[in-house]
Amino acid sequence: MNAIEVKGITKKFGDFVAVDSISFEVGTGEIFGFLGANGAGKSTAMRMLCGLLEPTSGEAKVAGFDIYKQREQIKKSIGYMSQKFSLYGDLTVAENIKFWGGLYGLTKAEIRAKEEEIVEKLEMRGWENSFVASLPMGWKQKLAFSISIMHSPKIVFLDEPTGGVDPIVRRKFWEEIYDASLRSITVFVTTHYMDEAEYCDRASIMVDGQIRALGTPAELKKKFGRADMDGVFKDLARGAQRKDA
Amino acid sequence: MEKFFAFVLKEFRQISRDRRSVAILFILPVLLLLLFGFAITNEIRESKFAVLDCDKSALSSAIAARIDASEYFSLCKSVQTKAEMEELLARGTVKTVVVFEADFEKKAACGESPQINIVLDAVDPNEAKNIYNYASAIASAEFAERFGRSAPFHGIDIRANMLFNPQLKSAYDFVPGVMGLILFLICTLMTSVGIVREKEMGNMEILLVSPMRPVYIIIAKVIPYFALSVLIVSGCLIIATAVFGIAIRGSVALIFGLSMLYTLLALTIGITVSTFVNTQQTAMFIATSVFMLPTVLLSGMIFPIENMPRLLQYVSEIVPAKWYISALRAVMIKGCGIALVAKNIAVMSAMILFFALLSLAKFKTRLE
Repeated sequence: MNAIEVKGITKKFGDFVAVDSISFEVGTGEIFGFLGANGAGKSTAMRMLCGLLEPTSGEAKVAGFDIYKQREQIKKSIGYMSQKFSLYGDLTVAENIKFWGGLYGLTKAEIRAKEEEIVEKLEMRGWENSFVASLPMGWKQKLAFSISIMHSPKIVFLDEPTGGVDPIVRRKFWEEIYDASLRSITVFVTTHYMDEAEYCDRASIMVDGQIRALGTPAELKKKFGRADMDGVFKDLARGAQRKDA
Repeated sequence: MEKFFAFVLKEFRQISRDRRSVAILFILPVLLLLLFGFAITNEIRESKFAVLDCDKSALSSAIAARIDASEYFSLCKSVQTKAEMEELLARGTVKTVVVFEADFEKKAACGESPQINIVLDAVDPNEAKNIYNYASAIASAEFAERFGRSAPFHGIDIRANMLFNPQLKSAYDFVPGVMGLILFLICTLMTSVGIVREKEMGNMEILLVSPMRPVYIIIAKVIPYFALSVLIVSGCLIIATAVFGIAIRGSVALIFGLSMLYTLLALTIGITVSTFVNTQQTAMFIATSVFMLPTVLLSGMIFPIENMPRLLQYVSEIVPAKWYISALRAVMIKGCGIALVAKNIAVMSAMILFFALLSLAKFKTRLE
């Protein structure tokens, strides 16, 4: 079964077509890159898949649930992380873990076990009672990611998770993503760093609300005759009508 | 120098682009001047009073009519019994009742001193003293005109009966007012800023993606402020009794009940504000300017509402604090029971319902 199935979903805001009949599938455990310039419609599409926005038309299933009728089940099956927000800075590492664990309905014992696991894995022993605000950016992001998959969701949505950090930290962050994917968590990630696009199993590129290209990085590079994903992206983005928002 | 002027020019340009600030800069001083100049005043004007006339003579009616005719007073009602009089004062329908003794005219005719008893709601002691001075001056003037200087009498005997606050302590007036202001400010400001902070930081999105229902997110956010206001009310009551020596006449449970209802109203308004604005700065601005000024000026906290022009009196009807403060004064200071503040409870409940529905409607449309 596919983790995500999208058939012609469209979102209009008045006359403006933010997402124009896009279709794609994402397999279980796949790392799916959702690329596009600012204003291309990426976040609108993602918000629809997370149950935050209702599509104007089209069909979609997330984790096997219908995005119109089964939003509550979808919310239980997904995790979500964005660069804009990484945890509560005025709560400690342990308090953040407890809060988000509780929000997703984990039991106290489960939360304690997860806390151990996360602290161990991120080598944060001794930092449990530090405020998240005092942690370095790279750690914060890894912690936010670990917390977003704490309830073992089927799919995790990452909205530009690595904004504002250098390539080395990004590379390390991607190790966490691979790790999650190995545990058959499907990863749906938006990004505008093209080096990251290379790490995805498959990637789609959105321009003006439509998906203009979809395939493995190797396929896309071959099709557009480019050496890297950056070239592919520039070829497609050059034709964009919408300017950066 | 040119560099400097370029900078000044840029500042002027930026200020003029920020329409809201410019509007405030111009409107606020004008508004405040007009408000304080004409409307908000401690002067007595058309103060409502009642008459308990046990004499029902030409003389007593003439004195009552003279008081009514002055610009300071307006006759609201004639009452027949003491109980009726007390209820009017407890409800706050009138601030003053003028009582003529049974053989008022006869005594005057015999050259004895007839007695007028002016019963005053002295929760606001300054206003009560003012009212007494005006009313007794008018009554004496009428009396003197009728009998002339040559009349064989010892003058009129006008007594003041300062009800609810015989020691004329100002604390009786300001404690309920301050409670009304503090609870309102804390609850609207803290909730609206707290919720908007989640939005501004981008947390709200993530919270909404979680299985937690939005309405529970909001309830969870306001519970601490609700708990905090219980503490504030307790603190205020303790200070009022222990430090200012106020005797709480009504039921403490009713005071808490009213305070919780009012807190709920303030929280609902805070939530409503948060659904309309996107930045903490705007939330703070709205909570302090849009709500603080009317609360201080038009709630009856400092300036008596009945002395304001009719138009402002109508405006004060929609100030939430007005309903709480007057109910609190009635229960705490005058010892009224729940029946006498039923209207206040009904109005506050209706306001809660209104703001809850408004924020819910707004919240839903935002999500779509």
